[in-house]
Order: sequence, then C-alpha cells, then structure tokens
Amino acid sequence: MSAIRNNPHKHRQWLAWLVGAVVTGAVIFGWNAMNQREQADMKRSTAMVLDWLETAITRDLDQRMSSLRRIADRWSHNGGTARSAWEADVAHYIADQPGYQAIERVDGSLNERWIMTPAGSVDSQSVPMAGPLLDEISDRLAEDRRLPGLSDAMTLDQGRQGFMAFQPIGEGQQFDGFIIAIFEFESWLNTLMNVSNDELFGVRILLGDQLVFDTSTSDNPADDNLLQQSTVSLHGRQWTIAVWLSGTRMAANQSRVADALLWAGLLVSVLLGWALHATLKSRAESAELQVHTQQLEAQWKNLPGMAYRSLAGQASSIEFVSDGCLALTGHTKSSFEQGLIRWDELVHPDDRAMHREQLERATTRGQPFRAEYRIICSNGTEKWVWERGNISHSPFDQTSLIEGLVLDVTDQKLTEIALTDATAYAQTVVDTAAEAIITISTRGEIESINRSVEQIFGYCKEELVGQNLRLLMPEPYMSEHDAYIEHYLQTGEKRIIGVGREVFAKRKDGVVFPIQLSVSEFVTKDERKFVGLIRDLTKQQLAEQEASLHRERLAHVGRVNMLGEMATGIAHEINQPLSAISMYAQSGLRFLDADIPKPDRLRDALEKLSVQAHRAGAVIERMQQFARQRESRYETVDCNRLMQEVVNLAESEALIRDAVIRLEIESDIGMVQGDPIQLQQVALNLLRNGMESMASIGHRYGNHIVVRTQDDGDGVKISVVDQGTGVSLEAAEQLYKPFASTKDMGMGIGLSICKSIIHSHGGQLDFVNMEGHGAIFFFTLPYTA
Amino acid sequence: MQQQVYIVDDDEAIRDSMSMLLETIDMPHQCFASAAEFLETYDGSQRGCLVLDIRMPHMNGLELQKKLNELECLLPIIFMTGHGDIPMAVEAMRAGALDFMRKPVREQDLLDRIQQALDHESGKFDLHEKMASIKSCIATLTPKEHEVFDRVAEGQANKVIAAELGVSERTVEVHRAQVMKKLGVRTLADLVRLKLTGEGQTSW
Repeated sequence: MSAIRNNPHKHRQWLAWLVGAVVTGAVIFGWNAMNQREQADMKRSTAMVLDWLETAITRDLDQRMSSLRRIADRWSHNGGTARSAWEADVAHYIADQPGYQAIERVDGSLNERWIMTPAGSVDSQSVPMAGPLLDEISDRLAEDRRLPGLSDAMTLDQGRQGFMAFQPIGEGQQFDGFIIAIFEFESWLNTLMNVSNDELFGVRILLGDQLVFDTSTSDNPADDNLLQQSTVSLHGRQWTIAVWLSGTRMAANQSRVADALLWAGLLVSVLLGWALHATLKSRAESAELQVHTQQLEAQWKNLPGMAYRSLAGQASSIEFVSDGCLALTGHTKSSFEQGLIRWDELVHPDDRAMHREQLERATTRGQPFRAEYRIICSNGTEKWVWERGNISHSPFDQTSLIEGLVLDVTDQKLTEIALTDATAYAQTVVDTAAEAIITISTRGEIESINRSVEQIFGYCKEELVGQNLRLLMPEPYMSEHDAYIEHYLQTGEKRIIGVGREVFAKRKDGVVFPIQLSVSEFVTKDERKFVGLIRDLTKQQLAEQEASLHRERLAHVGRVNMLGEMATGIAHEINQPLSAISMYAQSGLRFLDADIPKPDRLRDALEKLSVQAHRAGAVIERMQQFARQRESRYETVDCNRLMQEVVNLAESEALIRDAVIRLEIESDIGMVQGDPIQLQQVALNLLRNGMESMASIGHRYGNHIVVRTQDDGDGVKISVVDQGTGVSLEAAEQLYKPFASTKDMGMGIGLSICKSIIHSHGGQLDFVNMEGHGAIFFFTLPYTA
Repeated sequence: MQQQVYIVDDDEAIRDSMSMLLETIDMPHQCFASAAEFLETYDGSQRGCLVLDIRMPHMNGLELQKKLNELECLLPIIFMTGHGDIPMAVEAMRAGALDFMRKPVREQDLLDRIQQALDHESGKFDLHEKMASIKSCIATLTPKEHEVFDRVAEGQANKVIAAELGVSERTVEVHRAQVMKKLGVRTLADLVRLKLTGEGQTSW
C-alpha cells in the first residue's frame, strides 16, 4: 500500500493494466462464450432440420406404403376389378398425395401393366423408364415377392433419380402381381419442403450408398463439425440424410473473425479497447439475436408444422414460433410471441397434466423429449400433435431454453385409433362369441382360445394353451390330425379350410359330441396360423330330433285327416271288388243249384272271387300303410315308382271328381334319400288340391291334371300341373300358414306340413300360376352327395 | 231284335261278375268298358235295357243318359251307384232313369229289376210299334178325310161338321165311312181310342 502512495502514476498505470487484464480476460471469456453459443445454436438448428426432414420422409413413406397396401388389398378383396374402376380409384390417390410419377399394377406374369400418371392413364410402351422398371420388377420377382418394399435408386428419363415402392397383391400364399409407385426424388421431396428456395441449409440424401439428392452443386460443407448426418432404415432400405449450413450462413459466421481482429486491437489499447469492446459487444449481441431469429424464421417458413423456442418452466414466454402456427392452431404468430396465448392453454384439458409433467421432467433432466397429445384450435376443433423438444441452457444464466417442433398428426392418429378400436372390437367379439374359437400353429399347438372353449370343452385355459389340438378330438381325427395339417402345408389342398363341416369333438370328461367346424388360415409376418370356429351342435341335434318327431306326428295327423277327406273315394274303391265278389258268389251258388250243375263255371267264379277279395285287401293295406304312425325312416327312393303309387291312391278320388290324372315321368332320373310315405303324402296333397281347384270351377278349363317327374340337375323335381283357378294373391299369403284354409272342410294344415316335410328333406316347395288359369305346384329333392 | 242287357262299366271285375250272373239265368247280354264304346255300337235298333255305372272316367253314366235321350233311345236305364252318389242318382231319375241300385247290390234284386226293365221296354216297344202303325194309317187319309177324322174324334155331329167345312152332310158321311175303313175301326169309341193312342196320350 505504501508503494502505491509513493508513485501515483505507476499506481494508475498498474491499475490500468489491472483493469486492462481483467477486461481482456472478460473479453476473451465473452468472445469465447459467444462463439460457443453460436456454434451450439447452429448445431442445434441443423439437428432440428435433420430431425424434421427424417420425420417428414418417414411419415410420408409410411403413408404412401399404406395407400399402396389399401389399393392392393382392395384388389385382392374384390378379386380384381375393371381397369376403368381401378384407374379412377388410383387417380384419387395421385391427386390426394402429389409426388407420384406413376402408380402401376402388373400381374404376376408381367404381361399386363396398367399405368396411371398424374396426367392420366398411359400405356406401358410410353413410360419413360420402361426398361429399368421391368428389370427391377424382375429382380423383385426373383426375391421374396410376397413382401412390400422399396427399390434401389434408379435413373429415370433425362438422368433424373428416382425409386419405386412395391406392394404385392394377393392373400395368403396367393400372388397376383404388384402395385408399384414410381417417385422422382426432386419432385417428391419438393412436396415435403420447398428445398430449392432454402439457401440456408444444404441437404443431401443417399439411398443405400447412392447419392440421390443434393442441393449443393459443387461446394462441400466447409466444416465437418457443422454437418449433421443420420441413417435410418425405411421399408428395407438404408436412407442417409445429411444437413449442413450452406455457404451464405457460413459467411455470416466467418464475420466473427472481425471480432477477433477487434480483440487484438483491444490488447493494444486497453481503455480504448474496453470502451470499444463494450460498445461492440452490446451491438453484436443484439444483432446476432436478430440475425439468428430471422434465420430461424426463414428456415421454418416453408415447413409444415410449427417450430418454437421458449423459456423452460414458464410456458407463457414463447420467444419465437414459426409461421406454421397459424395453420396448426389458427392463432397468429404474434399472439404467441406477445404472450396473449400460452401453449399450455391450447393443450386438451385431458392431456394437459401429462404434457406438463413430461415437460418438467425433460427440463429437470435436461434431456430431449417427445410427446403426443391433443390441442384445441381456435375454431374449437381437436387436433393430434406430435412434439419433439430439446432443452438447452443459456451460457449466461441458468435459464433453460426449449426448442422444438410440433407436427399435426391428426390423420395418422385417427387411423391408429380406428385400428385400435377395430382390434378391441374384434377381441370383444372373440371373447363373447357363443362359438369356441381356437388358434393353432402349423405344429398343431393351441396358441389361444376364447371363453366359450372353456365352457364347451370343460378345460380351463391353462390346460389347453401349448397342448396339441388332438386333445379335443375323438378317434380317428385324433391320430390323423397332424397328418391333415402336414398334408395341407405340403400340397395346399384345402379339405376343411374355408369349407366348414360337421365333425365330432371330445370334451374333458370324454363325452364325444357333434360340432360344426370351420377353419380359416391367416399369415402373420413370418408365420402361418389356423383359426378354428366351433359350434356345439348337441342342442341343435336334440332340437332337430324333436322337430323331426313333431313333424312326423303332424304329418300323421295330416295323413289321417286326408284319408278322412278321401273316405268317399276309398269306399268306392272297396265297393267295386265287394260288388264283384258278391255277384261271383251268387253266380257260384246258382251254378251249383242249377238243374244241371256246372262245376267248371263254379270253379271259375270262385277263382275270380278270390282275386277280387285280394284286390279289396290291397286297397285297405294301402290305406293302412299310408295312415300308420311310425318313426320317420329314410331310404333310397325311386320317385317315378313313388308317383305311380300316389296316382293309384288318388285314382278313385279322381273318378269321383271327374278328373283325369296323367303321369309324365322322365325315365332316367336318379334316386333320392327320403321317407317314402311322407313324400307320397306331399304329392297326394298337391294332387288333391289341384283336383279340388278344378272341380270348384266345374272343370271350366278342363279336367286334366298332370303329375310330372324331372331331373333338374341337382335333384329331382316333381310338379303337379292343374287346370284350376290358380292361386290368388290373398290365398298365396296364407298358403303355408297352418290352420288357414280356403276350403270349407279343410283343417288348413296340409300345405304347411308339406312344406316342412320337403324342407326336412333338403328340398323346396313352391308354386307358379300359369298364364290364364291353372297353377303348377312343385317340389325338389336333392340327390344325395 | 232280341232283348239284351247292355252293361256299361269301367271296372272289369264288375262287368265280368255281372256277366256271369246273367249267364246263370241265360239272359243274353253284352258288356262295354266305356260310354264311348257303347255309343259306337248303338244304332237305335237295340232292344232290352241298360245297366250303367254312374261314375266312369271321360264320360260318366249321366252324360251317356243325356246323350241317349237326345237320340230318342227307348232303352230303360238302371244305374249302379256307389256310396254318397245320391244327388247324382236323383238327377238320373229326373232324366228318366228307370231305377238306381247301390253297390254292392243284392243279386236277386238286380235280376228282378232287369226283368222289370225288360218287360217295361217290351211294353213300351209294343206301344211304340202300335203308334207307328196308327200314324202310318192316319198318314193315308186325304186332307179332307183328316179334317173329318179330327172333328168326329172330338165328338162333333155330322151336321155341325158339314156346316163348318161348308159341304153337305152326305159328303161328311162318305168321308167318315172312308176314314173308318182306312183305320180299320168299326165304332166311334174305337176311333177315339185310336186317335188318343196315336198321339201318345194313353199311359200303359
């Protein structure tokens, strides 16, 4: 302290030097810090651009691939479509998503090519890249043709670079060709960003190891530190994206050298330098901030979505947002930057807490974050957004900055939600289905079951999953099932898949019961699986047996009733032989009592009498047969013979009604399975109805009725053609209803029984009115397989 | 022509057994399986009776009866009916059938009815013959004689007839004698009966 007092100049100089040294140190520190921040800023924005570009390309390609898949799925689902319909469909996709050069469909043999471009449909010869395209498709066919994917980069016409996306057509093992989209890099990328106008960043994209897009014409990025690069695998191809600051930006950067020169001058004159430095520092700071902001704005101007920078912890203080905010939220840039709207307010109330928490955690840890949530736009609509943010710290103070990107992912998200809903729906259906649903692997192992399986088979889930499906089968299926699967996998011959069949299954307690089984196959990414749908038929079979019993009883009532109605005819039929018998007997007596007995004539009389007695017996036997109540019994039936018997039964009634029955038979019809008595009942019923109809109008149109047998391909068709009144509209409505009769004496159960009998035989009963008069009632009986 | 029984029935056993029954009493007969078959042979000269089944296909007994009535056939008809054919039987009787019998018939009844029918037919035939001969006799009268015949039969006196016809009583007497001679009658009563018979007004 005394030395200072002794030499005041020296003291001042020392002080000046001290001040100079301190200031110099401060300047060096300041300059360095600024430089570092500058570098960090540039790296960050380059990284963000890279990040954005990667996201944009990934999302766009995903979307386009799924568009192609939809086109392919629709093709397989409809089993192909007309060219004009296909082109109209594809034209929508081309219009909705600009950037396609063409969308094409080729069939499996490469012979047929339908090509659609934005300008309309073209034929394959006029496609500029026809040659390389065909080569590429052939390569694709040689590889695994069943996987979707992208081609290598290829040269299109006029040296432009492009690539193709493939989507195979066909379900399961089926291969019906490809849906192919052709892209040209530059025009495709232009739909994602206005790259050529952006001189701030250089972009370079490699597909595989081939350079396919480059904004720099000659200059390479000067400083490797400022080049950000990322490699992603998209649809089976390696994409490398590189982004760097372009020359203009670098030049702005290099002006920092001037700062260094100024710093040297400052060393010469500390005070002057200090003053000068102070001035320059404040000016440079504000200018840099301005430049930086302007640059950011320029960068984001052409990009979809919204970029922002805000202070962490205080959601209100947004420093900067890109112009995209208007399209995204409906709020203007200035309303954000002036603090009129806080981002937090836009977040959907349900998502707000989650979003805040994510933001806070990221800020505390200083880690980048990603979030997906809903926002409410100015017009009240809801949008899904995807946000990605980075936390950075100001070198000057402890405030954290968040810089990030918000993209509108509503369409994608809604698709995702719809898919989730559909999956949940399918799961619910499977869980609550009354049918048992079992998924098995190609080895026959049970992979999953639904609740009904437990109820129907009596096993619990744990006992079944992982077991071979054999467990649920009785012999012979049990020992042969593995061979069935093996056979299908090797030959592709479908025996049960997609057909559905009635087979038997075995419960846990060993009881074998009937089931309806249908099996379908589905192919996952790398595996084939089978899904079996099983319906327990036990109850159904019991019900069928009961219904059959009811039907038989009702049919019997119908037959007895019919015989009652036919009593006159039957009496007539029996009276004839009885009359003859009586007269033969009387004649015999007279031959015996004659003055000269005639034994020969007597014998003759007795013989004839016996024949007539048998004739009467046969009539009674026939009636008894017809009226007997018995269990329904199926046998092989010759319809022609059956109809002959029916005509015999009806003959006497025809006589009473003055009708004439004609039998027209087709001689070579096949045999059917059925209950002969019930079938006779149906035919007799139709025949009697026809005769009654003709009699009711006094045979005005004639008295002929035809019974006809025909082969109709799948079975036998039996028709009764009358010349009666035909069936009126009102009568047609009531025709098959039980207890609705148009006849005074009828019980009204005839036709309804007939219909149920024919249905139980697997056939159909119906009628048509003929032109003018008369009707044809007919029924069909299928040939047994 | 000899009297015969014509059997028309579509049932062969009925025809055959009835034929055998008639054979036992040596009754000449002929069988037909349908109405059409009978109509084919019918020419108006047949004598005897018809045993007709009322129910037959194509043309039934009633229709055949109607047809025969149109042909002015004189053969009496016995219908054979089944159970529940009463309305048809009534209709048959109304159309002039002689009788109807329900199957199965009592054979003696049937034979009796057939015999009755044959008797009836021969009476009817005789009358018919008589009427025909009378008619042919009347046809020989001159118009003048015919006028006198009609008036005499109505009981008019010769004087009244002469006044009506504007001729002399004597002339009427001559005509009247001529009529009596031509018709082979001697008394006025015979003449009146002959006229009534000729007009079919007497029931036998």
